[in-house]
Amino acid sequence: MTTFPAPTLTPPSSSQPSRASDKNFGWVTIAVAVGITLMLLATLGRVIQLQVAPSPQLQDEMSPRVTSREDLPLRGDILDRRGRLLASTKFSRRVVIDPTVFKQHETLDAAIVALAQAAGQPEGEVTTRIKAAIAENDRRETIAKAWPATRDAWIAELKQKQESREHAEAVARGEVVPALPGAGAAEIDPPDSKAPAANKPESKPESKPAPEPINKDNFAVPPLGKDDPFSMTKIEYADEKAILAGETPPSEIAAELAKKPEEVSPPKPLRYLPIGDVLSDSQEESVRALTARGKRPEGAMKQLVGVMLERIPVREFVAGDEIAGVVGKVGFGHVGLMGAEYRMEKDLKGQSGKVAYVRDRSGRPLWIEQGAIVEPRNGQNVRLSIDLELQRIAYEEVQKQVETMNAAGGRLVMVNPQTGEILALVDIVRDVPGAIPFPWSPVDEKGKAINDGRDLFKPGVRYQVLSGDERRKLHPALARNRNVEDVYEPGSTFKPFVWSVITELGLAKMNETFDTEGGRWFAPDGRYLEDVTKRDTMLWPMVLVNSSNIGMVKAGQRLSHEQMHRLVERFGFGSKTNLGLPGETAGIVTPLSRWKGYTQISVSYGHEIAVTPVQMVRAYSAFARTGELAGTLPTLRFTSAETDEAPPVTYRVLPTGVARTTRETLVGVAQVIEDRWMKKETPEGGWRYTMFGKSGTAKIPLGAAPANHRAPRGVKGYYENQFISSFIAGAPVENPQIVLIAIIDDPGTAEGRARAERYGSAAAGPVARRVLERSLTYLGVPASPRREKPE
Amino acid sequence: MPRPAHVIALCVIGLLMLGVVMVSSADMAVKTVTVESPVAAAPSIAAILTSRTMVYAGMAIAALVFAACLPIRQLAAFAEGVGSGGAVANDGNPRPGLLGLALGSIVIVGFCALVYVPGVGREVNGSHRWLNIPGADSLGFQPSEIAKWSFIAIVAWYCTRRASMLPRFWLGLVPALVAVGFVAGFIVLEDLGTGALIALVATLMLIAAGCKFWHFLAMSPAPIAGLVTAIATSDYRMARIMAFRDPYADPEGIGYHAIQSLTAIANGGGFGRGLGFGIQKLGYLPEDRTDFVFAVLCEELGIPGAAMVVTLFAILVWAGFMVMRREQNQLLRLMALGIVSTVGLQACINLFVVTAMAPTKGIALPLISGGGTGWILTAFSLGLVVAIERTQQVASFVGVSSLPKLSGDVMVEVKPVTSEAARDDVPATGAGQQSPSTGSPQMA
Repeated sequence: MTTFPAPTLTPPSSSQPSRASDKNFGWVTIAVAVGITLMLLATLGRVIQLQVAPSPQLQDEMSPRVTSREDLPLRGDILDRRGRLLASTKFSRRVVIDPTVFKQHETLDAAIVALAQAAGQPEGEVTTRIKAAIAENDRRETIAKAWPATRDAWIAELKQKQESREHAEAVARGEVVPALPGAGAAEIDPPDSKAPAANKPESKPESKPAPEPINKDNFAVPPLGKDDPFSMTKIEYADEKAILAGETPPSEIAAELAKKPEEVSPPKPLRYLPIGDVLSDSQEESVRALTARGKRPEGAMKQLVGVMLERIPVREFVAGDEIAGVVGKVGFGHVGLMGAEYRMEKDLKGQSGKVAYVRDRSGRPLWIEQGAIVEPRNGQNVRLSIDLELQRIAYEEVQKQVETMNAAGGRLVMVNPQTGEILALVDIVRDVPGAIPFPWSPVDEKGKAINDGRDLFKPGVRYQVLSGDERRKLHPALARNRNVEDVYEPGSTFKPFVWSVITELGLAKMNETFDTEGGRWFAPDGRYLEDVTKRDTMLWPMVLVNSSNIGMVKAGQRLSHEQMHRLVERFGFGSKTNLGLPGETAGIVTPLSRWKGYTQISVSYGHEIAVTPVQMVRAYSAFARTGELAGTLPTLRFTSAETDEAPPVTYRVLPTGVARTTRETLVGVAQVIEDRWMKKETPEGGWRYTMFGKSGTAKIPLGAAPANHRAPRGVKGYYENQFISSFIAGAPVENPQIVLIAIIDDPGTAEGRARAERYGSAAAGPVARRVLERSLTYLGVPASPRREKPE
Repeated sequence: MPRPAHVIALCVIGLLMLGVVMVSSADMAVKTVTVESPVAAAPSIAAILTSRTMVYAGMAIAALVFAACLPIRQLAAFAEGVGSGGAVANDGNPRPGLLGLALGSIVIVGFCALVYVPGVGREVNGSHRWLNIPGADSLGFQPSEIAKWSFIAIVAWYCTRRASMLPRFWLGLVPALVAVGFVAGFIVLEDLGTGALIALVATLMLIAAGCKFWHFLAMSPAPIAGLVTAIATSDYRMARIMAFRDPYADPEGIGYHAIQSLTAIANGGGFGRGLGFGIQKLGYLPEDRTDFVFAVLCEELGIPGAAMVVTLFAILVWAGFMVMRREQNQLLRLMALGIVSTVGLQACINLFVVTAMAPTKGIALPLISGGGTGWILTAFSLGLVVAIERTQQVASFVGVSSLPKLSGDVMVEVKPVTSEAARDDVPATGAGQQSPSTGSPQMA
């Protein structure tokens, strides 16, 4: 192959290639050109692959370049049915500092003082707070530096924090008796008591005062469960509380503790420390001046760093105390916790906007991406069915009566029976002077009474009858809404329902005479019954007017158990009104399987059944509705009904005629009240509006004993001598515009006051009468025509 | 049909302009918007046109034009004569070309060694790759760049000078391999990518010039061993290999560069984020204006932009292919092969690195990655290819280089024989066969 070039044959220039090299040259050039082209195409393919379908790992990498900032919407206003403002939101700012940056000030103390003064916060408090945060950050840095040697200690610290918080919560719930200071410390603190956090105040739950044991009504619902909005927001609540206090949020601690020990990350510094309350405009301006860039006069404070002004929504509650519980409250994160704020959350909250912006590697914002601005959508205003003026009238009257009667509390629910709208919702709780907690008898571990409790219970003593309300202590707007959450025994107010059904079925005729045994009688089950109005005989309508227990029990025997049980359910007892207020309970109705003759007798006059006030007004509206709607139940609503909306009908419970008859009969009951208890305040020419109604009085059940306790001997499940007095009424009878129930909890005895004065007709009746009169006048309802008194 | 030279020139100018745009985009700093100046000033056209990048591009185009105008054939003829004492080749010189090869290699290595001289060399990122230009501190160039191009000339010259010996192992190939190993080996010390590229291109040239392929195969263990040694003895090269295998093993460390580059490309999302709207160049992607400018281009211009770059390089290579295929002069066509394959392979290596199909190494994308000397030397080299093509037809038809000086532009002076017909590659057989379109005024 080797070709020796023949010098003589080659041209003068050696540049003419030989044949061999020509062959090589040919394939090398083709290989180069084709090879490079293929490689270029491979690159292009790779680019297409990366751009069209990047791997998940790559996608993770791509997203953090864009930061998105939430733009808070304005929460909707809450208005009453006439458009009066009840609650509204505005934006304010508060100071937040980043301790890791703030500590860089040369003169830290001067910087803190300047900031505190500008923000109008107490200097000492701000100093303590910031210094504590800086010290904590330094401590964490030391721990992080010595990582992983310090890992076990840090995990122990986190665990201890979590445990102590859980313990404190359990104590607050009353589930755990707080440990005694000495003994408790050993139990709660981890063995490594050198852990730095052991010295932190928040890790000492035993230092908190022990809350009193909570009395629970027998019929009261157990503490709100999972759907309790209050406990739902409790996680965030706890987080927010920790953040505001400059601590690690509990959820973060929980997340860390859920990891494997070797994956727990070293402590991160605290970088968000809110300082004090929201700022006024002038305070905001002075804080801005401190943090602004630019030159300052000689001797002035240098620019502060690590200080931010955070925009936060502030809910302003415009209306007064009388409606606080109805409107409710927003919690941290501006989420509705109770009342209308909770009920209307979906409408009120609006939708957050978003601004997504690109930032460079050092975190500086660069530009906003196209289409990355989403305007926040403000929440809708909500018009409640509540009328602020009616609410005020009701509150005032209930409040007055609670004081007059020296009662433990009062409630009132007012509805428009035609539309089902709730017009007023009053719930008042009062500390009765001199009332003492019920003397539950402690038991030992085996359940044996430590003492027999015989001498604990004293019939003459007045006990605290209302179950404790932790939430009410936090804020009046967070109080339990006893009108939907708490049940009671309706007593005689329940009789109209039984009476009307017996009438409907023809089991008792209007002209039938009942033998009422002179007011004293032993029922078939052997129980002793006594009427307030003692007569030998009564006509069937007078059984209701005089509220004869004996007559009602006798008539009730004519119903089968099924019929009685069905009537209870038909009127909506045992099922929620679905008003949407948090924590509503369905009440307690004995199931048919356990319905005995005893139950039949009890229910005949409104016992052995637990109802809520809202259930009562809903059922009672069946009598109050007019025209074709008479005898039907309305759907209760918390928002104002639009005028064009057809009155919602749930289902018919009575024929229209029977409903009307019952209503007319109840007018007689109302007149008894007016004549007997309100003679003095009867206006000249009589009451403007003819009322129909029914009173009720029931003993208050004791409720379940707290843990490790039992009822003292000789107590039969009720607070003897303490009542719930109620009156349910509607007016005007010819075209009822209002149905209400007024309840006075535990009206007190007073010097020279007869027992009967604490009954429903005397304690609650006047409230109902006055509220009806004032409310209907306010609404401009025409006065009732004069009517002849029966008899 | 456009002439390959025109195509090459246009590709060079196109790539350079793309380079100017992308380097300017990568350079773009984002100003903070303040209350006082609520709108950040966008980089103006004037600022870009007067930027240093633009000046470099202008110089590169000037170099292209200058090289294209060189009397390349006379230079080649002169070079062929060097070392032989005259036009008569090989007479009385049993070892033609060896001295030149040795001297050339030593000069190149010596030049490259300047980077170690304190005051002259400059250390960047722990590597000695740069030489200062006295009086202009901000300027500077990599001697390996110059070595890369000049070594092509030396190898081409050696192959031409010693053409008859090349098929012989000891007499033809080994001296060349010694020289290649010497030069490439020295450059590999500081710059693995460029060293490997030089060796690869030299190998291609030697085979094309007539060395036996199986000789290379027999010799191949040596450079492979060298390459492995070069990688294994260097911690950061090893790390780069590891990072290539799994960049996510250490995403904040050695894998960072590859991940950021891939992220930039992926950000393009098909049609790109739009010119100037790249995010990765804002501090995330290192070397965004130089070696990794293609990633920025993909992010901002998307697949169309990438396709444009790839197409321009492919056209450049195929135009060069046509030039060298048509060339009869061994020295010139080897030169053309060396230059074209250097540009093409360097582009491929860079693109592979940027798309993480090869381990990260510092090698620029020719004519696009920002850099003064790189652009100027590449454009100059490709200008030589243009010059080769420019003088080609005349030489191929007449076969003599001693005709009156002819340039492509002075057709009027030329006889019809060498005019349009010749340029269109139609074999001209005689004076009578004229193109009807050209000769008419004179013929009449």
